[in-house]
Amino acid sequence: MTELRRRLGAREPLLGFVIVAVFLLVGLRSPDFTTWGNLEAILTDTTTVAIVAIGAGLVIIGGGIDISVGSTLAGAATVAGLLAQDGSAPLVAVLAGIGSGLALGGVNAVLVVGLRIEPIVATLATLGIFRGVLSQATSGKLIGDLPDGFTVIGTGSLLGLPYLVWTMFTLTLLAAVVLRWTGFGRTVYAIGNDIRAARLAGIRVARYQAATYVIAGGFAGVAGVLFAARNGTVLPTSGSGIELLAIAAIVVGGVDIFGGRGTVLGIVLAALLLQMISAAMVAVGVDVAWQNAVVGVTILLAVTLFAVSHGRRSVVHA
Amino acid sequence: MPKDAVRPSRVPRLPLRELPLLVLFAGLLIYFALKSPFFLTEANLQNLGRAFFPELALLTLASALVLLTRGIDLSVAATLALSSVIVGALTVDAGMNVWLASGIAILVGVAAGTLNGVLIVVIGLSPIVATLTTLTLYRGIALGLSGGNSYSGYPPDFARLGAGTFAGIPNQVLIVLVLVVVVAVVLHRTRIGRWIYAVGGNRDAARFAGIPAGAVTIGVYACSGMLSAIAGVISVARFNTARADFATGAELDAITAAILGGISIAGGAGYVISAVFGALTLAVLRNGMTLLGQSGFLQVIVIGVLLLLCVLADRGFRRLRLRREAAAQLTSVPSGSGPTTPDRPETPTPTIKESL
Repeated sequence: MTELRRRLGAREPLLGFVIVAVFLLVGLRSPDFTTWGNLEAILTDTTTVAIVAIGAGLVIIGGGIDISVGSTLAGAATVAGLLAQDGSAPLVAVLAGIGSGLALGGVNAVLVVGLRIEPIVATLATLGIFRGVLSQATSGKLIGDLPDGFTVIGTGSLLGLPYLVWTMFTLTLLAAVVLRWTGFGRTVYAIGNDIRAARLAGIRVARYQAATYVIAGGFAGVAGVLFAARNGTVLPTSGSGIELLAIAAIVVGGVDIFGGRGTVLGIVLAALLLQMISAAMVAVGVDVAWQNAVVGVTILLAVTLFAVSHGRRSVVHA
Repeated sequence: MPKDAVRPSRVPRLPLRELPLLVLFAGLLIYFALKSPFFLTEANLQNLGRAFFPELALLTLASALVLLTRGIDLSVAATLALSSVIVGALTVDAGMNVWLASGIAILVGVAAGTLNGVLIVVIGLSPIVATLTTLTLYRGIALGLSGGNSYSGYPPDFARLGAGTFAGIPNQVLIVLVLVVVVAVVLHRTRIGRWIYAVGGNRDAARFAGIPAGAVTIGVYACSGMLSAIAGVISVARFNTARADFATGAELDAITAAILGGISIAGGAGYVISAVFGALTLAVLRNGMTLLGQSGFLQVIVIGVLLLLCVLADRGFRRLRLRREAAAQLTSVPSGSGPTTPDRPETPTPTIKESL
């Protein structure tokens, strides 16, 4: 726990400072950037990645990894979209979407925890399988014409903030509280820190690890539903590659890729920072073609600086 | 003495580890030959050797080398795209000789791989984080350089690299075969090869044995970058164009092929020749399914399921082998030390690893 507290005293305030600094500095060059409307847009654009990253981050904190979350997102978006299109009640569509996310997370849990396949191999396989299955199921067609009752989830707002942003805040708070102040959360940290010690301490490691994969599926499911509601259309390719952005946010946010360390707040702030940098590049007028390269350099600098400033953990390879 | 301690322990040369793959390969050949009269024709085999196999084989070779050191390189396909765009930019935009441009592109690949190695060894990033980041970066640079456009128009003798044959075999297949043989010889007949296995088997033990583990690791990533860049040059010659979105997602196919070929992701075990055979199997699968009109997404499902099945089959065989070895050791205990000493870094750590 002291380790945790030391981390909290370092990464999150720094991320917050950089976010504010970027926001204000870009505002000096293009005043349109520092407006409430733009901040709201940036927050809204952050939601999908942030929610996916919270779930995937939980898996990594627990010592695993899940790179199938982008496909899970697409699966949930497809289920929710199809149901909404067929005229189901929005609540039914939402719950079914989240449920399918949980189920796909369950598939990962069975492969990793039940069959003991290395997580990166198992989720590499399901990354392809999930997306392949849903493309076959929808024949690769676009799902559109979603009813207003459903899309309002993605477009409506409350007290001046979109529902999407409220959802992100709520899930962040929920996950942060669960991770820091419940037995479940502390157990996940313990497993990620030292699985043998956790096992010797009598923790049912398999159960908790399985739970992290299911929860990651659930978060990707929520993100998928929000994605469908916001865009109004779903394609089999929706959300592909989001796993890379999520892992970038997780790592920049201070989660140790080998497990045991990191906070939800750090993950979400890092997702916000990455989104803000993307928006800043548009505002400053960076050539669109070069934006990915700038994002790459940013992530590289961030992880390198953090690695150097926190000292190396010997040279570990996994 | 330390030199001796470095030798990788002998993996039994039985085809046990590769058996699932052999069965799969034979099965696929028979299935597609029965299903499509076109499959075994000369034209299709040429197409298989030109369009489906070479780049995948090179990326698989690159991935396998890195996996042997217990690392992972997710940036191979991005490096392919970057090098292809560099060939295009230098030749089409700057008017440089295409072969010189190809050489420069391959050097850029080496530099890209070296950067990966430095990030991992010197900065201390985990291989996943480092190469995931450079994946974004290298493809980003490729996109930035090309502005999203494609570079077309190369001299005919360069196009022959992608379309010509030698003794009936596509040129690029021959290049791949030469590179595979070179890598295999280095791995199995030189000290550097033994170092690579030793570093992957047990990094600390290797370091205590006097092996420059950091340099070996950086070198392997540099090689991975070089092989990926060669694949990029071949892509340009084949398509007669260069684009930043070449081989998007191919890193996953390459890693799948390597694992299908029996390369252990726990490092230090497996043969690159089997890995390339894994690439050939994937190439046959994709070629055959395409012939039968089955979509790319169905191919992805099949590949994913095969990956899972192969991993499970591999573990079944490994258990069998461990049990057999244990039995053999029990019976040979009275005869003394035997051929191996106990403090040696046993290469295939019987790792039903604390699967994380």
